[in-house]
Amino acid sequence: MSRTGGHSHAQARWARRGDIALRVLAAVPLGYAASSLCAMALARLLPGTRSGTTVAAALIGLALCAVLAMWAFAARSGWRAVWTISVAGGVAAGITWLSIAVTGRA
Amino acid sequence: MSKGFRQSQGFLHTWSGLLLGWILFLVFVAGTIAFYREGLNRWMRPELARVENPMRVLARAQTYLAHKAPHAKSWFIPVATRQSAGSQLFWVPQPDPNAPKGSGRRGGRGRRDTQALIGADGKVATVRETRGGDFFYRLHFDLHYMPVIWARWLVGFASMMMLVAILSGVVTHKKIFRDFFTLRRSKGQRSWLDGHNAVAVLALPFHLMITYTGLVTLMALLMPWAVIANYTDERAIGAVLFPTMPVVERTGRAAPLVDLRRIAADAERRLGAPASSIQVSEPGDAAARITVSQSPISTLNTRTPQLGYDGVTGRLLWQSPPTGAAAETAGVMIGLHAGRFADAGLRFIYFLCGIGGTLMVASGLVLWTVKRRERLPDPRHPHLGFRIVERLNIAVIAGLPLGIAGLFWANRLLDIGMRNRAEWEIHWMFIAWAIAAIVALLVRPRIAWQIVLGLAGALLVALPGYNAVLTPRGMLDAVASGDFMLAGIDTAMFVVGLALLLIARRVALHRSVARPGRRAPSASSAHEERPTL
Repeated sequence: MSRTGGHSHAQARWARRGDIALRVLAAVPLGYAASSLCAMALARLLPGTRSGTTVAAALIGLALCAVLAMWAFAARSGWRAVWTISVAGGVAAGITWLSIAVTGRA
Repeated sequence: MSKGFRQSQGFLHTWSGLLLGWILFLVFVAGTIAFYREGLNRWMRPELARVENPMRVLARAQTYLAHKAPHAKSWFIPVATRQSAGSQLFWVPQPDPNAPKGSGRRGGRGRRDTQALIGADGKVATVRETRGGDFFYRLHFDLHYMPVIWARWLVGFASMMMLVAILSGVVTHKKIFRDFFTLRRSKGQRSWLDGHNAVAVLALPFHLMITYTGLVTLMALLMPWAVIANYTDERAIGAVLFPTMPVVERTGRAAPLVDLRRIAADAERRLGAPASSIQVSEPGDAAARITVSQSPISTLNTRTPQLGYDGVTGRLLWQSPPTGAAAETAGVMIGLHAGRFADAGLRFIYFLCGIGGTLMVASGLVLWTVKRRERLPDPRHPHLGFRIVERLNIAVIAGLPLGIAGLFWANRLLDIGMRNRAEWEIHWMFIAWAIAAIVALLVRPRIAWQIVLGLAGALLVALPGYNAVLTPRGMLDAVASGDFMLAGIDTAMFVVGLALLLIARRVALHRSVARPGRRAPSASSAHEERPTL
């Protein structure tokens, strides 16, 4: 949206389209995956009963999905949206994996 | 708030709103109608008298089941109310030991031979076969003609887009409250924008609530990952969130079932609220158990408390344990979404807010074309994308009301004894809708709007007249007997029909306000770069 370097209109247009495609990638599949992984991490980390943290994490995960989609379009560039959301998902995945490895599931 | 952020959200708002707007329109319309699901269940069965004595219906339901399915695995009896269409009970037969495993379908809901409708007089009612208002409830999230899981993912995805569209829409409006008090009439694009803002902002808390809580109703499907993180077997959390009375093996010793009216009265006294349904397992056996569920009209939480009784002695054996704060929160969110607790006044507000949401989606979709029409390089030959959106808008925004009018008329006109009648009522909705789509495709847009809206309006306006003359439950009869639900539904159809006719007329009288001189200076890429909305 904001970055439209390039010499001709056509070039600028394609750059813009690529940028939008990256943002859609960040918002939809990556955004869903990252919010799901965050929900998993929260289900492990939140204080409370097992069923309680599970439901609370799912409730937060849904809201997070919308927030990440907004972030994907607010980020300075499409690439930035892709990597920030991927890193967030990766960190959540690591926390979840570690937590399950240490304390297991019911 | 930075300018760049607002612009990026404007882009997001426009496109997330457009791409799934047509599905959202259907979801909004069906959901809005479904607030009157119970009323429509009666409206679409005009043979059915209103229940005046719910306990008599319950007693007769028990008599009927004891005679018809004495050895069933379980019975399910909804407790009739003055608002319900009798009592639509069903039973589950004992599993056939000779049948191969897994061949039996769960429950008897879909099977006509294991269900019955008990009417106000306590007899099995012979009424026209129809899905009633329940159809709109299902259409709202299951759509139709497709596997329900696909439909729910699609609706869930569209709802998420809607949540994004609402949040980004709020960000986009710098002066959201001033926008709300601004309505510039007959100013083309500005009027559409003002109208879109007004209906969106007016019911903004409702839109946000209904969208997020709608996602919560689909949470187990859309966001199962939290459960997977904590449980190896998801039945473990199911047992906590949806507690049920411990099952007992059938003993084989016969024992008469206690009078269900007694159990219902006892449960209502203990719960301090009406009961909504009674489930009996192993009726007629010494191990019979009865579960009574509290009615969701009495509480915000849709997951209501349950009481379990011994089916022979009538002794209270079990109470559903509390499910915890988070589960209560989720239950209340679903309760807020479905509005089952809402009394007549609040229900009407739900309905009006639903109409607000419908208009928000519709005006947003139309705004997309209005905004772009003035900037088209050649307004006489718009590009393909523009034409697709323009025609789809007519096919959906005007076509769906025509389809629904078709459904209601099919409910009145199809032969009472017709095979698969209930399914054909629904086919007629889609046939009428398909006709609207063909008109939208073939006829010039301005004329197409008038034809489809006019037809839908005329059909809806005529319905109360038909009811008054040819059914025993027309508007006057309904008012005379104090049945304001049926009178209200007739009135709503008339008013909506009239509104559609007025819009059709308005389209006919409309003169384009686009003045050539006002067209934007350049028609090419300058616009592409400009944030939309």
